Parts: sequence; structure tokens; C-alpha cells
Amino acid sequence: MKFVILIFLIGLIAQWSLAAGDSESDADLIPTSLLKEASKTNSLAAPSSSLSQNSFIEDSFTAWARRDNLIFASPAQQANSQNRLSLGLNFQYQPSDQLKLSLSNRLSAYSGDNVEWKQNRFMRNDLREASVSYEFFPRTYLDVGRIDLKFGSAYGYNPTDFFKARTLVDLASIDPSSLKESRLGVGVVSVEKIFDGGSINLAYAPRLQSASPLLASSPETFDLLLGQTNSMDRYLAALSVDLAGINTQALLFKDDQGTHVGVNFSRLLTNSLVVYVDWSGVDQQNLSQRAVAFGQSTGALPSGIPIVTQKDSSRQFSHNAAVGFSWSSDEKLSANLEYHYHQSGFSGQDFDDWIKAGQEQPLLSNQLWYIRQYAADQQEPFAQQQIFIRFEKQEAFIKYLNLGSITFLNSADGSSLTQLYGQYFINNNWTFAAFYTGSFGSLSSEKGSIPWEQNGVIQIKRYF
Amino acid sequence: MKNKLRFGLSTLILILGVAARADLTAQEIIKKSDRALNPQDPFQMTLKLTEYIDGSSRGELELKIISKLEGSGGQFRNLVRWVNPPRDRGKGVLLNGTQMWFYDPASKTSVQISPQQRLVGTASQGDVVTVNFASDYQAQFIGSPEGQTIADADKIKRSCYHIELTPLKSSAIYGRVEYWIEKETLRPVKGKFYTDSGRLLKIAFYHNFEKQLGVDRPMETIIIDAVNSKLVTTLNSSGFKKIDVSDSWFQRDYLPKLKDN
Repeated sequence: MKFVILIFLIGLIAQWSLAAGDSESDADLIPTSLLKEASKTNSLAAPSSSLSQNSFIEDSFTAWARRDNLIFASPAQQANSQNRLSLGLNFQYQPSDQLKLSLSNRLSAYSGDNVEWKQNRFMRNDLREASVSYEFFPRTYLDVGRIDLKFGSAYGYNPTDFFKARTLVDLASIDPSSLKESRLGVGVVSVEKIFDGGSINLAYAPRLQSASPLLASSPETFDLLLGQTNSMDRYLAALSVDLAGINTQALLFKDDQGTHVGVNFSRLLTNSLVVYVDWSGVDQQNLSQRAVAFGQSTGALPSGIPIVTQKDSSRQFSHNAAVGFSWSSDEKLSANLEYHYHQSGFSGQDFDDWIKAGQEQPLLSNQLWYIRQYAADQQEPFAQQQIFIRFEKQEAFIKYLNLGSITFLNSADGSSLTQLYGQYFINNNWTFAAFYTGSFGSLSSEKGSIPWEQNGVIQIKRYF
Repeated sequence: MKNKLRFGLSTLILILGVAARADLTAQEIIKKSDRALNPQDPFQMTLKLTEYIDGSSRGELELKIISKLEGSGGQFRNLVRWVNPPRDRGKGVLLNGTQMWFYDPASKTSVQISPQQRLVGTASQGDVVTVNFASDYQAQFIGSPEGQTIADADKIKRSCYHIELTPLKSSAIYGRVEYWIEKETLRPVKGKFYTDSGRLLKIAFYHNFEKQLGVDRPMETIIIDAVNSKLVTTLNSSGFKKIDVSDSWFQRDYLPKLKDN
């Protein structure tokens, strides 16, 4: 009997040892220094401060390689290099559960061969946001001030992002997410109600100043640029609801052009795929007509002749759409592919006519380039159709390094604007980034006629 | 004599306890273990993540987590807000079943992300949120019927149930999980987490149990990267408190409204 028990115990111990082998090696992977440190940090205090901030200092150096053999020259003077040193201050203060004050400001100093030192235009302050939010009823908010209101589900182009026009500040990247970060809010009063499964938002952005011309040079240092962000009365109503797993947002927007309608939605298709659609429509003139009318009304373009010939001056209902998907893999790779349609933009034929007009009538070159500058200021695509492709690999080769690429491809002429970028998180406070951008295509193509062939940006950012 | 009696009684209680649990199914064990991980009432807590490379601290992240159980025995809905470092402060994530939204205060936009993106990072969003394994996974015993004795994070031997979890729902974060639960206490000891393609992603040890909101819970989870075992992340929990959470919080439009405290 004793022998049987002994055999049983030996067997049990042997099995125990075998089973423990793999598991012990797992526990061996835990550094002993870490366990000692853990015992000190296991009683953290919950955050309690009512003031939160994420401010930064950023230095960004950009160099351009100009394209000297353009079919007809752009009036804008293309710099060779520029350095920007910025101080970004972002504060949120909550004196009570119902009240929140927000401030976002960026002060930048520029140096470079295009900077107007003599006119003290080397400093620029952008008050991006300054607002008060009051929750006057549970989950019902009144917001007043300069606020960056955004809508839309796509990545590269958001037709339902109605407040984007004339809000661009400055950017080092062509990445649409950087564009969204680098913009001014608009003076607005809004009420938002969040309810189970949705929300409703009503906003009014009043006219505070007459429309200012497109910026031809740096503005006064502390110009609030209300002539850009609040030059007309605008109204918005947005309803967000979840319809059987489809996040849907319907919008109505009214400005000087007319009443815009919009819908955006996104849906999870598979474990790694999200599809989205962003659409808006409005009865309006085409991009070229709107640009010339704006230029004339702000005095930037002469009212007389010569003027860019317009094939059709009638208003028509114009569609704007972005349709695409985002995909991600378990290898930390993500991608977006989108098709952008901007009906009032330039078709392939329109662009050929644009080139031909510049070739045949050099006196028109200012007006012709003005249309492109206007589209950029409005944050509208210049081309009627384009493809947007984005890849990003997190922890590429080494930890804390992200690598990515972004391409805007004109589907009519095959020209493209492509950016490669890398971002390295040196530690919790410091981030280093580098961008290379090239505009590719023939001189008579949309992207190939951009006044610079390539540029490079080096950026270092310190958060505090 | 008294000592012998005490020893006998405690041994009997232990044997009876283990014998009673011997009747539990793997699914029931996971369900009970989930209760150690997750308070059942809506709650808020702070999570501090520290990344180590070769045993040296490389970076820290502090998150505020708000969780609420959806119905009885359902899945948790989570709101996550980045508190530190300053670079990420104010970012937010909503996880409501397979609905996931990421909010970036710099661009002031919320974008829908796929469940696959919960896996990104040594300690991913899938690790920081509250999850009911019993709701999302089918559990079954694997290996020896007696279970397995393994070393915990402190290299103390623990007699454990060895359980395999396979996804029941699309909201399941991992393709497969190996899970070790201590037989005596039904506390989780260790987990191995795999992708859909069967690749081992990470090994997690549950550590430093303390009573919080009435139940002993792991105050620290140690996560070892399976590809590079020199990368280790610790998740330290603190500041557990019950709070009132409205269902209307769990949507993208609420993400910008989430408060820091």
C-alpha cells in the first residue's frame, strides 16, 4: 500500500514539475527591479485638479525645391526655406461640474527669405479657441465663444465639415489630420443635447466683420482674423443617431451660398474594416465662378476686364462626397483609401482649359492662380475627383517610431501629391518628426503645376 | 490537540471548498473570476501604465476609466480618457461592444476605429478597458484534468485551472486566450493572449490583490510583450469609486465632454 502511495506521489510531483516548467519561465521574464518598483506605485491618487493643460513649444524648419519651368508663373513668391518657432497654449478650467472654460492659442515667430522683418510681420498669434461651456441641464450644453466645430466621418476630405472654410492657420504636413489641428475656431453660440443613442446640435455663427481678402502676406500679429472666420451669418442643425450599428449624422447648414444638406455615416464591416461616407449638396456656382466673385467683392481682383472666361455661370445643385474605408492589421499597420468627388471643382477638361488660358493670356495668370488659392483657403479640393491613400505603421522597426505615407492622386491626369513621414517619440515630452513631400506629374497636370517640386520639414516638439 | 483540530478543520474546509469547485464548469469559473477583475456597479478608476525596456522605465501613461455593465451578465461599456502625459491629455476612447470611437482633442474629431485596433501596443486599449471574459468567450478546460500549478508574478506556486477561451461574439478582443485561475480563490493568475491568426501577443500576470469596492482585485497587471520579452508594461489601478453613469455617455458625441476628474 505504502509503495502504491509513493508511486502516486512521485507521479504527481513529476507532473507538477513538468507543468510548472513553462509557467516559471514566463514569470522569469518579469524584471525583479520592476516588482520592487511596483510595490511603491500601487496606491495612486485619482486626478483631482480642475485645471488641465497640454501646452507645447515647437520648432519647424521647412525647405522647398522650387519648380522654375512652370507653364505660367504663380504670383505668390515661393520661399526657399522658413523656420517657425511656436508656443502653443491649451488650457481647460472647470470651476464647477457644470462650467468649463477653454483656451487654445498659438504664438509663432517666423524667419526665412520670405519673412517681412521690416514690417514686423514675423510674429503671428492665432487665437484658435476661447469659449465657455455651461451644462445648464443634464447633458444639455450651451457653448459660446470661438469654437472649432467639426463634423464628418472621412479622413481626407469632409464635405459635411461646414465650418472649415477660411480657418487654416499653418501646417507642416499635408496630412488632413494636421490640417484639422491647424485651424481657427469660429465665433459661435451653440446648444447641444446628448440623449440615449444620439445628440442634436444647433449652432449660430454671426457675421462679426466684412469678408477679408485672401491673405497675401502675414497678418498683423494679434489679428483675430474675424474677417475670415465670421464674415457672414451661418446656421447649423445636426442630428446624430445610431441606426442599427450605423452611426449617422444628418446636417442642415445655411450660409450666403444657400442651404446645404449633408449626411455622414460610418459602419464597422469586419473586425478590421470600417467603411464611411460623407456627403453634402448645395445649389451653387462652380469653384471658378465663386473664386472670381469673391476676389472681386474683396477687392483682390479688378472688377473690369480681362477676366477668366466662364463656360457656364448658372447655379446648379452640386454634390460633394468622400467614400472610403479604414483598415488595420494586427501588425500595427493601418490604411485609408478614399474617393473624393467635388462637383464644382475642376474636371480634367477644365484644368486643360486653365493651362491653355494661362499660356495664351499671361495677363490672366493672377486670376487663374487666384482660383487655386481660393480653393485652398476654402479647404475645398481643386480637382473634381481624386483618390486619397494613407498608410501608417506604428512601432516601425523600433518601438516609438511611426512611419507613414499620404497620397492625393488626381484621377483625371494621374498627377499626385505624396508625403512620407516619420514620427519618433523620444520620451513622454519630446517628439521628433520629419516629412518629405513631392508633387509629381507633368507641367500641364494639376499636381505637377504646383510651384514647388518637393519640400522637407524637420520638426521638434516639447510638451509640458 | 487544539492545533491538530484546527489543522484538520482548515484542511477539511479547503478540501470541501476545492471539491465544491470541482463541479464548476469552465464557463462558471471564468464568470466568478471576472467578478474579481470587475466591479458590478458603474465605477470609475485611474490606471497608470508604465513601460519598461530591459527593466528600466521608459514612459508613463495615466488614464481615467469609466465602466458600466450593459444588463445582467452582459459586457462592459467603457470610456477612457488620457490624463497624462501632456502630449496625449484629453484624448478619449469609447468602447461599446464592437462600436469603438477615438477622440483627439488636437483635431477635435472623433473617428470610428475597428476592434483590430484594440490590439495595438504592448498594453493596448483591450487591456485597459473592463471586460467580462465570460460574456465574450466560450471557456473549456485544457491540459490535465487536475489543472496546472504555475508560478505567479512573485514566483509563488499556485494550483490553477487551465482554461482556454475562444470567441463567442465579434466584440471579443482576442482570437484565443489561455487563462490560469487559482483553484482556491478563483482569482486570475496569468493569461496568454493570441491574435486571430494564432500568434501569441502578450502574457499577463495579475498581481498585488487588494480589497476594492468590497472584493479582492488585482491592483497591478504585468504585461510581457510576446515578440520582445524585454518590453514589459505594468498597469496599476487606483481610485476605485462607484459613480452614477448615464447610458447616454456611451456615444461618440459625449467623448469631448468627458471630464478629467
